[in-house]
Amino acid sequence: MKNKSLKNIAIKELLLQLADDDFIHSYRGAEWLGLAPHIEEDVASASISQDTMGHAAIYYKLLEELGEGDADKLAHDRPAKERRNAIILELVNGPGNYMKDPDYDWAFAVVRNYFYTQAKAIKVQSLHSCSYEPLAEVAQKVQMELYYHLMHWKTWFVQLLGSGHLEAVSRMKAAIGKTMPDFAGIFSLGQYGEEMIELGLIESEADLQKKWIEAITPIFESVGLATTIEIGMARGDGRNGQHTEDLEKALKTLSEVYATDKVASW
Amino acid sequence: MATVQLNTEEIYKLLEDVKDPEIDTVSILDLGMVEDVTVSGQDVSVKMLPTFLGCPALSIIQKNVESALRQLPAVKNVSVEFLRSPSWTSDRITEKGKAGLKVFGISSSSTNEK
Repeated sequence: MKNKSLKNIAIKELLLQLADDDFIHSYRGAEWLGLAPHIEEDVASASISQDTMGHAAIYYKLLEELGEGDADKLAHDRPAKERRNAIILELVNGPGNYMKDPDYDWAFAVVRNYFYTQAKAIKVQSLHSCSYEPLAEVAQKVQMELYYHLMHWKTWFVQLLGSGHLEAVSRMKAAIGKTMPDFAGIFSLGQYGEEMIELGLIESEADLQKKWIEAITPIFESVGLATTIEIGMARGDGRNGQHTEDLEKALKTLSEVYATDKVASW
Repeated sequence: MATVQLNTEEIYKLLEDVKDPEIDTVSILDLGMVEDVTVSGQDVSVKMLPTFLGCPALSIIQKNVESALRQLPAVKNVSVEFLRSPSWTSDRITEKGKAGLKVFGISSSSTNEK
């Protein structure tokens, strides 16, 4: 009985991590709407954000099926301290606000999106053999969509860094320098990580991280970047509810309409 | 009491009239979204596959399926369920569906899907 409840907790924790990561990542992506470098990119990246929100929604739906409450409520009505997303995904796109004087950093968007999408692809691949069958099924479909997301962000990453354009290269390098110190948070499995691995839900943090480094190393080499890749959790572990003010503000904005009438059917 | 026997053929015929809300030249059948139809007495159950997980039109499609099938007086209850598995791929689109997409300006190739 004890094992059974521990198993449930581990499954729910993993689903919350996956859902909250995609949810806030999609939100940050959606803030670029109308601001992306050109119209084709605006359409493509908005479409990717929509797909990503769909992934968050299906994970929240799985939680709903496990009795964790309404999916909309899980998405919109949980305070920052209950969120499990990695801190790197919640950081603002840049100074300003999408409604007023956005001074967003496209280099940071490209780096964060490429790194995260590659990491997500590795996690989703691992989830194919997840012992929790509904999650293994969802992973199949997510992976099909992710194929295009990864192709998209890898293309941007290689083109900007391989452009030979001084400003592009220096801004991309600065963005990598900004992303790395917090990127290990993506691989953290939180306080129930050991249980997740024992139960065969997902591979270990070390294995996932190793595969990610193996995937990005040839790309780094192709654009002449040093391949000593060091990542950390400088601002803490989001899986355990540690977050920044950036998340607080984002949640306030994104739940503004929901909060006006929590029982409305949208 | 006279009972009217429902058969799945009639159901499929009605589903041919349910179009993709965003692409009105192709039916959900020709898109390959309908995985299974079962009839039990006066109850119809339709199992469907979302083309992509974030599709915002799923609830509209569900309503359209329900109202299309309720046209049959013999139908009492309609349940529409979106399955997680198998995954929809563009290989499921019929030849008629591809022609319909073309009319709309979308070319589909069955080889570009991973």
